[in-house]
Amino acid sequence: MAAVIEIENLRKTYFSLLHGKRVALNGFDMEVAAGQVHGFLGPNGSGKTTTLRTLLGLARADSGRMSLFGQPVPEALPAVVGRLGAIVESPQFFRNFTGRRTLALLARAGGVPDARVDQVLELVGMRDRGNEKVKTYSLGMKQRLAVASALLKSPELLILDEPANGLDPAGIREMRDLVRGLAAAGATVLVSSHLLDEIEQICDSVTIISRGRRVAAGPVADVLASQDKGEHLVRVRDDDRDRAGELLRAAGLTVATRDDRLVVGGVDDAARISELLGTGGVWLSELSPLTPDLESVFLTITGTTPEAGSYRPVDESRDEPWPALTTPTATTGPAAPAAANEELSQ
Amino acid sequence: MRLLRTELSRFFARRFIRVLLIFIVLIMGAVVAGVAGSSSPVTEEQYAAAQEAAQRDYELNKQMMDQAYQDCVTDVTSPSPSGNWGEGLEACAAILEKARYISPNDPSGYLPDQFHLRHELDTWIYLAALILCLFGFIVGASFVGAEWTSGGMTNLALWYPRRLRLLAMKLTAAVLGIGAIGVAYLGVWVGSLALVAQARGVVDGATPGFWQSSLLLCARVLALTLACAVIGFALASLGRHTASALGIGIGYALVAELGTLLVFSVLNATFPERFRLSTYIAAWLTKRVELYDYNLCLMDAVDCGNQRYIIDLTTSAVVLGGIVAIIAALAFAAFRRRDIA
Repeated sequence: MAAVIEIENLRKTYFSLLHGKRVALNGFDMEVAAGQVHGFLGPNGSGKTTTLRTLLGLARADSGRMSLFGQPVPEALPAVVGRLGAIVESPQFFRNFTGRRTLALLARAGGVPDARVDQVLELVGMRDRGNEKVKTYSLGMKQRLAVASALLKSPELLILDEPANGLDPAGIREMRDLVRGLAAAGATVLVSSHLLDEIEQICDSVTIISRGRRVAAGPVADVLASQDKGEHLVRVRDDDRDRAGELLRAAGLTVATRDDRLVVGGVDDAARISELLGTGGVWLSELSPLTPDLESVFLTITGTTPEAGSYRPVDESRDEPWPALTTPTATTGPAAPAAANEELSQ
Repeated sequence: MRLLRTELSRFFARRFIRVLLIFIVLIMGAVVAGVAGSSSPVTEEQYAAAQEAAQRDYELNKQMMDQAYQDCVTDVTSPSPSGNWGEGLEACAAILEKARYISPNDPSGYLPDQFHLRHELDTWIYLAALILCLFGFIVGASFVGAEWTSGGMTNLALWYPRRLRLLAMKLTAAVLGIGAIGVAYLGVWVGSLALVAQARGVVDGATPGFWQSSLLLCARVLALTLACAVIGFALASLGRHTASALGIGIGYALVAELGTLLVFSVLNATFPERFRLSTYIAAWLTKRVELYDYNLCLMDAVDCGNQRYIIDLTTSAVVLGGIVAIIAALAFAAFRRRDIA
């Protein structure tokens, strides 16, 4: 599938008289295929917004190559801007304009028919509030208005930076449905978010950035699989727990206790656990595969797993590429460094 | 053109601009009402009374001088003159000489205050220039400054990646908007004063030449207003905040205008006023400013009229235009290169 977004070796440094030099992007790469919903993840200050701002011509890169729809940007931005919609960093609007006027001004200047204003207000659930002033809107409503502005051009590529910021649970679900609907209609969507369960639900692929470098990328299933160690959760009667542990360890499996369950590793087939326990006279109450979620994978890959009693500085994260996940086409199973796997199991 | 039309809509829809417009219209109303209130129409009776009073004062003055001459002659020819009048009859002849110059008074000095269009219109247009320049500067600064502080500039740049074109359209919209308001404001301002003069003042001397001159003055006021608007716009764009333009404007007025005068005076520079922007603004409005170096006159005892520095319309146009062009060029260069936050 053709790549809609391509970023290669992007570097960006900020200079400040007070704080000196700060490297925001340190050779960052990203590729987003057409028709995909692509998640863009990273800890605070890792360079997500800088990447989007640089891609959209709001910031100048020091070096590197970027393209949208196969055309180099920022040079070709005027040619491709009509095909993309974007919100970056919760855009603000004039407080004394109504939502409808705000959108109408953008639409008129962009050659978009006025009728489209009502369509996008409907899409983001703001039809009945469009004639009210922006200053009366809640944070979530402003965010909906921002998304509406990004949708005005019926874009082929939609770039959303924290689109769920300030949305209530219903709004988050609506946003999810909206993104899915756009993708189903053939649009490509790049979503930057910290709501990892949302990303896991709606995205086909992800890129994870940490300290300005890509540390992982690929289909969501592959990223999750990279941290799958074949562990299973086992629950038996409380009286049988010790006996079950002995039986499983005797068969060469790793066993750890988590609350009232056993975490069993080193087994590919769950039937083997059932067989071992049944043969030893212990009956299963529950047996389920322990698959990592995107949150735990993210924390492991970026090295930002919270530790009890300590506070991680905001800029402190792991920036070593995860070997099996540094190309979008990675599909193989676990290949992470042993140290990182240990980190995940903690 | 779509972008320009949209920016013009945005310009006239902004509440800040509307409020400021109402404010300057109220100022205009107060000025016109004040002029009208202080100018009274003159009746024939008032004019006759003024003529009578002028004649009475003339005769009184003449009588006083005649009396003074008589007193002088009496004193200097007496056996023991007081010396208060001087020596001999020559001193008294001087009184007669002065008396020759007493002439009947102009009755206009005995009439109630009247607004004289030909004599006073320029002064009131200068006041309009001050109001419009401040308005242009603040509105120009706010039109782009509000975009920076609200995050609207990011939105605009996402839609219009050609940055120079974006800023140019925004500046053009500001200039057109402020220009339209300036034309209307000056038209109403001058028209109202002309009506006041017609109804309660004096319109004598309002010849076609006078109106042509006033029209040209209004055109220069308009150009100055737009220059202020461009400077305000450019400074706010450079500082990314309306307040940065206002801060620089106030800072310049307090520090540079007074500071240059003090510094160059201490350095004994000749004609220190030529280093102040306000001098060139005055020259632009009045077509010519002559600076005199009074120290030089005193020290060299020469004619001050020959020791002068002249700033004419062309010089002021070059200086003011150059300053506007430089600040605007800096703003555009910065906007092209800097990150949009």
